[in-house]
Amino acid sequence: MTARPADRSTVWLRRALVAVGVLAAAYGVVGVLTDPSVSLPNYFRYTLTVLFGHDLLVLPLAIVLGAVLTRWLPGWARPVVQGALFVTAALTVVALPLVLGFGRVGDEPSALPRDYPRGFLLCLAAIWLATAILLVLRAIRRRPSDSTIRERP
Amino acid sequence: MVRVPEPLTRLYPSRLSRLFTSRLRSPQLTSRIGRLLGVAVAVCFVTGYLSHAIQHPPGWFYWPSRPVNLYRVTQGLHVATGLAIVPLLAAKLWSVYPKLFRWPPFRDAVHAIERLSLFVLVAAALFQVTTGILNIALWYSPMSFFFTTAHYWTAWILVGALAIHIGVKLPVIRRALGAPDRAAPQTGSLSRRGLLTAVGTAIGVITVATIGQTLRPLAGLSVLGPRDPRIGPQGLPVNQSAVAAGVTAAATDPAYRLEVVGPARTLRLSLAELGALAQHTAQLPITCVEGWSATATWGGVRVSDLVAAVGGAQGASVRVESLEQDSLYRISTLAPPHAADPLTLLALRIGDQPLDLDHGYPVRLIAPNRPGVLQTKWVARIEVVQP
Repeated sequence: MTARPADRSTVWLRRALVAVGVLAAAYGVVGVLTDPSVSLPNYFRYTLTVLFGHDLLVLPLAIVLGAVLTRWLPGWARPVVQGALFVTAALTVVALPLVLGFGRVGDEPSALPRDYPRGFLLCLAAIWLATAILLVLRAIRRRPSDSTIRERP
Repeated sequence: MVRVPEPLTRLYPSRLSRLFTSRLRSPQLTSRIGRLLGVAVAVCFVTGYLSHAIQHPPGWFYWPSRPVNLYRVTQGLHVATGLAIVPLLAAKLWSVYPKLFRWPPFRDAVHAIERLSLFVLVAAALFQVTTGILNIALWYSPMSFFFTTAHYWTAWILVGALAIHIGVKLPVIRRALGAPDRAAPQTGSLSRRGLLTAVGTAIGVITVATIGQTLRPLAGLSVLGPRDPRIGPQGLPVNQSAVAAGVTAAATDPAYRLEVVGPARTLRLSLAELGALAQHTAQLPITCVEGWSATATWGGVRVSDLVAAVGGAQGASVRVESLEQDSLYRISTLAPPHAADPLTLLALRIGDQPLDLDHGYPVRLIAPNRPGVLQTKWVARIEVVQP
């Protein structure tokens, strides 16, 4: 760490950011607490569910799953698969409520009009097809460089 | 990544954060993703506040009626950026996840407060992203609170907590972003550039899969778009049907009259009388707050003509009331720029067909550059409000 004295403008910028942030957040908190259309018990239950659901369930599960699924892959293939798994996970978050389709109402055929399971599978197919092509390209590119290494000594 | 569990004796709180062994995590990575995330949150906040202000205008607020597609762009951007936040937030939270288990949990009182503010920041961010996704998927039951107001107030909490966070971390961020870009050691797993590429790819896939709900040329590609701008009665999506609004009987009653109230006189016009007035067409989009939009060619009577017919002055506002009984959006007010705009119609037709019942038959409001919830359907009464 550099022991340079912080210049005054940075100090004031930090103070201003914290002060503005406290005001904005306080405005939002007062709004949540006083707006009768925000039913507080439901609001807090939902917020705590997404917070702890993410921090203690979804994220650790994703990390463990990613570690397990890429554990036995060779080093040259692992980064590509890790990237593809990340893209798959992010897409799943967006697609899941649509795929489950609980928002569909009988009398509004134009709301959620598509076949979302099919759409989701198409996206997954595109992601993993691209991944497979990348892996093949990497495998092909790897072979010549291996032989040059072997020739060197 | 993690080491697959070794003896459980390793799981002492003081050792928990050392279980995370990825060498990819660094202030450089976190700051880079954080910078993108900060921009995305700012875009969502500004476009979201704009949409709020158009619907609940504060005294100082002015919103023009042109360009016709401005709201379509800002609200399309709001939803698309919100969806793009999913991979950014996922990578950001992953990059700092071991810090959650730091032991001891805090050094002193100030540090404790700062860490608690992070709970607020993360909770608000997860709240905004997940409620937004649930809302565009029309899946309201997990929320069991009123989405619109909760999403609005939590947006203030999110930007506030984010400003505090940036203020606290500014020296770390500056040092990290100013440091030379050394490639992380290659250990047979994802590099920093690799992860950023994956984040970018995820944003690209999510955007292409959904943006067609507002960009018609991409509708065929957007297999996960919550709406298809080509699908619906008369080729136009519907958010609320006549049955759901409970207006079917009133809207199809032959005794229907449109009441036009102004300072000089009150008119009660039948559908035939409305059709006998000067007719105009306008090509305007229905632009939903949920981020979808679709353009149609509307035909009907200019609101400004009706205002003049009942003695309303230039610069008047117009209150538009629906046949609906119990709806938050039963009444909308056309501000002076929209009331005077020649494109603002009480529409009787889409193309050359009478409006479908679900599109607001017999008469609906259609005005440029406004959210769909304000484009009142099944209009029963309009009233000129003098300046």
